[in-house]
Amino acid sequence: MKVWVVAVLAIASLVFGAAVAPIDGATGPDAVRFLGRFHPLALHLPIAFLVLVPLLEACRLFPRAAWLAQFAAPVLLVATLTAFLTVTLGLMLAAGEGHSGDLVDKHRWGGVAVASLAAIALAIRSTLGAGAHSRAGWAAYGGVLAVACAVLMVTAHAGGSLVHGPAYLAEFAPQPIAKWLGEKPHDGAATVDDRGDLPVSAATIDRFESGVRPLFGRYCVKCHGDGKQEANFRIDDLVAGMTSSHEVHDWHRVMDKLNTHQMPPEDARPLPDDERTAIVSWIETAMKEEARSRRANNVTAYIRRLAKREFNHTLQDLFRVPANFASRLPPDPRSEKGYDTDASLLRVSEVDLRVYIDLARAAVDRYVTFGPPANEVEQYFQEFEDNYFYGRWRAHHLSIARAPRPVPADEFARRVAAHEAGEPVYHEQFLGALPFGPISSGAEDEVAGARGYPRRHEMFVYIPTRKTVGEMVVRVHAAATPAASDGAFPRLRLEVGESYDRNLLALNVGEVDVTAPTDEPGVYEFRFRLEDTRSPPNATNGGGPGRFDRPLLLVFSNVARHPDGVIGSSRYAQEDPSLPDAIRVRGRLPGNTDEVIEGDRVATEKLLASRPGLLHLDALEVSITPVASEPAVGWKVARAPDGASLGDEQKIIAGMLSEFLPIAFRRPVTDGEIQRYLDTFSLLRKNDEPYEVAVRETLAASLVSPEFLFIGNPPPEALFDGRDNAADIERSLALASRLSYLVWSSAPDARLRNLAAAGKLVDPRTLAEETTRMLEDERSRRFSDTFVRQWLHLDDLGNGTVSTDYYPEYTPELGALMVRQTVATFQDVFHNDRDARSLFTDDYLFLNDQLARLYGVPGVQGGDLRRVRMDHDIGRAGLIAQPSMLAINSNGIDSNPVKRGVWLLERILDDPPPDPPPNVPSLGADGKSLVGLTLREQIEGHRDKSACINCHKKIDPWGLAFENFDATGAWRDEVSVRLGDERISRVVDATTVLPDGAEVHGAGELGKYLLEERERDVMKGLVRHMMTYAVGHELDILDEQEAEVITDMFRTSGYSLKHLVLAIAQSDAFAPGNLETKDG
Amino acid sequence: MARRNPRVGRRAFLKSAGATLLLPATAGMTYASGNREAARLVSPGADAPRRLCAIFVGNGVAMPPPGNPLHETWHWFPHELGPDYKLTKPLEPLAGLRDQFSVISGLSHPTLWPIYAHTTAGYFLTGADPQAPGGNSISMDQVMAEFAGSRTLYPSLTIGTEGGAGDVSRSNTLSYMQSGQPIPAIGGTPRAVFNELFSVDNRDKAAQVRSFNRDRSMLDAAVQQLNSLQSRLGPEDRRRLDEYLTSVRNTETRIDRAEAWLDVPKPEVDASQFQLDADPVSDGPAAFLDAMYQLVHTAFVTDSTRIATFQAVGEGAGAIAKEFPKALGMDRIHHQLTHEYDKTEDGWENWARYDRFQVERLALFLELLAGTEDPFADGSLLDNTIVLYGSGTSETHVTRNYPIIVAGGRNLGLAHGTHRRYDDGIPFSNLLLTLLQTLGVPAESFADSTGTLDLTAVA
Repeated sequence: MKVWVVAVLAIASLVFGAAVAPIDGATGPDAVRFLGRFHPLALHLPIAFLVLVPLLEACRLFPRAAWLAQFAAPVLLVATLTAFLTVTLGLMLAAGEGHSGDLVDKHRWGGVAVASLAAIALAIRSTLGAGAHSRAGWAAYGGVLAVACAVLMVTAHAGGSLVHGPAYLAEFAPQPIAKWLGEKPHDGAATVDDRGDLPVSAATIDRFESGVRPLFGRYCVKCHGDGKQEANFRIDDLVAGMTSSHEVHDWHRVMDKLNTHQMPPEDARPLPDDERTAIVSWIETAMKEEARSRRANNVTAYIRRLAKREFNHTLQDLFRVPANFASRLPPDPRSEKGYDTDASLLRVSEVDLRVYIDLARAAVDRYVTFGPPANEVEQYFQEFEDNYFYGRWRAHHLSIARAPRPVPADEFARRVAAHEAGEPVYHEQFLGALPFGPISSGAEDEVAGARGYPRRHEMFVYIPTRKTVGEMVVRVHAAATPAASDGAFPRLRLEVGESYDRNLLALNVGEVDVTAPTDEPGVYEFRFRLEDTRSPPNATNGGGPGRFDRPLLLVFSNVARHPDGVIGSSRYAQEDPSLPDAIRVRGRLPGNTDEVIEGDRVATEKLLASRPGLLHLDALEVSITPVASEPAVGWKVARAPDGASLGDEQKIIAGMLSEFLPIAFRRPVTDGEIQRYLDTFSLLRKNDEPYEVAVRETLAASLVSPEFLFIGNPPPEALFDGRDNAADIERSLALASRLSYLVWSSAPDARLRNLAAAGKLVDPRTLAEETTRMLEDERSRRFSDTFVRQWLHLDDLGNGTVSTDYYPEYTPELGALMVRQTVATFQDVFHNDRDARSLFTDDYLFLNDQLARLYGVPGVQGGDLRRVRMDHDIGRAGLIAQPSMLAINSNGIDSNPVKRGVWLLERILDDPPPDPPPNVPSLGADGKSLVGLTLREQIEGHRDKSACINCHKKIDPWGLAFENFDATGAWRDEVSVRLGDERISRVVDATTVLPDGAEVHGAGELGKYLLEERERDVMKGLVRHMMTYAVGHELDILDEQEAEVITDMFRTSGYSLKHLVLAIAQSDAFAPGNLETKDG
Repeated sequence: MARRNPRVGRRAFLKSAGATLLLPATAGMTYASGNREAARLVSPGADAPRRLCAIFVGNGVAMPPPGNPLHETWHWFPHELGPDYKLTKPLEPLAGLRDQFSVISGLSHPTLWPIYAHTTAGYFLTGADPQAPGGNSISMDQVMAEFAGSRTLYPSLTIGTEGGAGDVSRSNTLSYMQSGQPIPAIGGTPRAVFNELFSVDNRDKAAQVRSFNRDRSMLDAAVQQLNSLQSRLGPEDRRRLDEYLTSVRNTETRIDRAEAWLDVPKPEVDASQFQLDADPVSDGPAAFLDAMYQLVHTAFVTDSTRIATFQAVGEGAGAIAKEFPKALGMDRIHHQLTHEYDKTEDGWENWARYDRFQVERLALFLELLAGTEDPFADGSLLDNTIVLYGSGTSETHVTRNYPIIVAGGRNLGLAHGTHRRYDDGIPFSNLLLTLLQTLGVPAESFADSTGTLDLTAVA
């Protein structure tokens, strides 16, 4: 019985081991992998011994050989032991090397079964003893042995398939045997039965089955098949029918790898050139068939919803007002490449629809007014020295009582004139400089909780208006004393919003460097829409929780920085009995302890001693113009005369609709369409709606219609039916929208609409002229801004990207500035038509004082970005080494060469690496010590692992070139690493050997390498990115062929980005539905 | 955009969709006249209501470490497991309800492990991955509302101390729609909640009907050409427009439903029984929170809604709730309490006392529910209501081991009076899914759930 217990225990532990072994595709510890690799060696022992056992047992039947049978039991023992050993090693191998898949499972459980059966056989054999007293026992023994051998065969075959590929045996076997051996028909083949709707033709699929699939079996499936999925990719799963964009994408990847000879790898069975060509040309054919079939079906992003920013710009242009119409819409999803124009992702859910309805109603309520413009400008004038803002809530009512009051126009003019005539008198509180580092902004986030009182660098002014909509103009008379040390000027910022108790919720509406001398103050103007700021609750919009209306608050501040800068409470937020205070307030502001006040006093003295730039405020002019009084804003609808009939009203509205709808629908409208909206108007009137409501509702309805919300709707046939050039008109109308949304992110203007309505845009010259005209228009900056942000993933730079614990001087404002720098660099090249290659050089940088500090460039003053010529090599390389990119691709504390490498491959070279496999172990998970290693060394460590190396040797070298830049993008020569509780400094090494063998030292050389050795790849990357943005879907193979041609045109133009836009606008990829291209 | 949605059985879904336009006759019954017999008379055969109230308190709870003299007494979690656990001081206010609630420890949303706390409120009931590009996803209360919300005038009630939606990382609401958009919480004052629930629309019925008609005519006008458009589109394009059209149709259904409720008077509730103008700071947080809880209770007892979420304590350092401890006479705001516990001698105790204050409010709410006979079903309101109370962090910055109390729902099958602990790594979504199923929602999975928990027995 003992032997049975041992056998059962052994089997149980093996089954348990097999079940818990982490066979999940992730690699394991090195020791496990080392031992595991003896599995292929050891496995021959159990195979040999186990096969030997029946032979030995059979010897009993032959008297002369019967003595050999005595060895059967010992041999079976050896076979069992080695089987257990082999299975154990195999489990280690599979877990260590990262194998997984059905075939691996089959092999694993086969192995376990063989070992278990051998153990059972051994146990039976030992209970039988020498005698033959149990016939049944011998029969059982024989049976188990036979099954063990059979399972052994199957398992060995599975193992062979794992190593040599599933078709190994079948490949050269005679037909009947091959058929028997052959794997069951592939999943992919199953879809072939249903050939009716496949985009790929039956003949092409047949060619795949006969000519291509066998090649995959021979060269690819060993590493990309059932057993092993290198790079997380299985080639035997690919479906020849290409029924989804996913499949096309995968095929594309295969083609790229074969074309560039990246696959099969050097150490694998070489793929002869003719066979390589056969595969590639098959994929090309199939992909073209797929692309053509898709175009024939008009599936190529013909129609898509407006993106959020397009919706906003369209309404801005429709209502002729630069207000924000879309702030309540959720952000749009980004495509795999990062663009918000992907037709397949832009949807209208029920919730979206409700938001669209609300936004449409809000727009017409604000910007559709009735009757001729009135003149209701509200004006305020205030000498700053008279401004009273007692920054404590207990005395709020005093501040409000003493706030400026609106004055009539003549009084306003008189006061301004009187002011101009006199000598400037400044408010006694000068606005001093801020220290470096984060300053709580008072924006709508948590720091607002600590705000609400003016500070050392701020001045609060209440404007007790009840208006919430309209243009607000704030003119500040101010002057500066420049800093003694370097002549730096103060920078005036205006924020507008509300303060309530300890909360300040205000929006930054602008900033300007103040340079006027104190004897001749300048006037600095801020112009913005009141509706875009945060209007405090007042009597006209519901009222706040306070006992009175809360006034609108203007916050003037000096945001210039200085090493001795101070953030302290202003005198007006502290207890000071000498202040002109009608009541005595006891107590202090929260947090204003004696210590704090004294510290503030000392710091302020120190600041003044170092004589920073100071801001002096003189006087303030404010005007608020409601929409009804702005002649150029919104739509002014005539009022219906008293007693007008419905017919009279309809006449007014019909006229209005015939102007409004063509802009909203981006094309001429038919009489039928106008009539339908008139019917809506009439219905509303009949339902007793007032005239104004009916007009607004009717217009709002057009703004939630698919004609408005979607681009690319087929135009009504009435617009071209029966005309000689019907096809030209139809195509021109589609082109007009696509073009204007590409270049302007908005609707076509009247000129473009008229050309389209006449069918003129099909003429390439007209199309070129129009594109050029639109590119010269100011609105084309919407394109350059959006494109560069999405292309380079600039929006990834958000709060928290950089750790302010490690970089105390970093602020979210600096992050926003970095992004603006990159945008400015791109826009400079784009709109001034410079050579696009200069995006990758540092001849000029866009800098202001803060960025210049980060770059270590001296002598740049002021907060506005300007183009600064660099007269020496700064070791960067234009866009790719600007702080924005470096900060985005960091971990917040240190550089991240992997992220930087991936970014460069994706964004610049358009050669994205595959997604990382699931279950990637983190650095250090293998138990290796990372102590004292730089991130570079840690990463080089992970490249030793074979599971990672294939991808990372293509990624990391690119990122390592940027090692001279920390997580904020500032230059560094040393990097600090953790050693126990301490941090030590290590010298930075930015030398790297690129995948093609070129060695570069740092980012500057990398930039040169890219321009000299990879110019076409870089430019083609840019072309393909811009095309993806423009066409609204991933490029298909026909688009890519055009990309090649467009890249050539781009080069011939001297890499003019405007020419690139033009080339894309003229391409077939941009304007699908062109019948000529369907057969091409 | 891939979104993880709960899978609701199709049959069950159809059943509930069929019921969408049927008005529950019980809704017209007023609180004043409410008694169970009357309710039975007007709604024979109606399913007994199952209710949910989820409450969130931000910034975790005090957990003095072992070795600290307060560890034994003031640690939020009881030290023992199972039915024989001893209530720690922060939980003592619940002593009288011992067999009506359970303490749960160990659970958390694994998707939130990498984030730096203070930002968990928006994900508490959704389990979405904050790093996923699609943004947030539907919260469990809205899953229930989609299934059962049509049975009441308000499909669900979302309230909070701050009110509004907040922003992505500082959510002021626990409820998120299917699309991942926040549902702004009604808050600021109890009066806002009362007005939403019980104030009568001052406009006459004709004006309200007119407003519905306006909505209808807008949608009619918008889609009038859709048919001629669709006939000329490829299949892919047609699918996109179909989606739009479906949204239009669903919105119209909503309008119809809202109009159908027009003839059903709202329950008459006397405003004077609540401290509707309780200010969280000047009147003290107790008066404010209690008023909010009372309104939830009244919403349930009048069957105005069966689903409520309440963000009682926001996580932002700037939240109104940060002042609560100061209003209680402590010298620190909540945020400081939870960060500086080891900087002063009584740091731990102050924090724990504040936790206890919150539990006291909860206890009063539970007692109120337990003391009210359910007008529509057997047992007390609490027996037919699941109350989920907890935080998205254990200590302030630790996004694991959520402190959780599940109370009520005994008639729905929950067993209580025990401290249940689950292994680290078991998704909190498993609990949310379990509660959904207990509430009768035939969901098979929710967010990243990997299974359900057995809450039906006291182990």
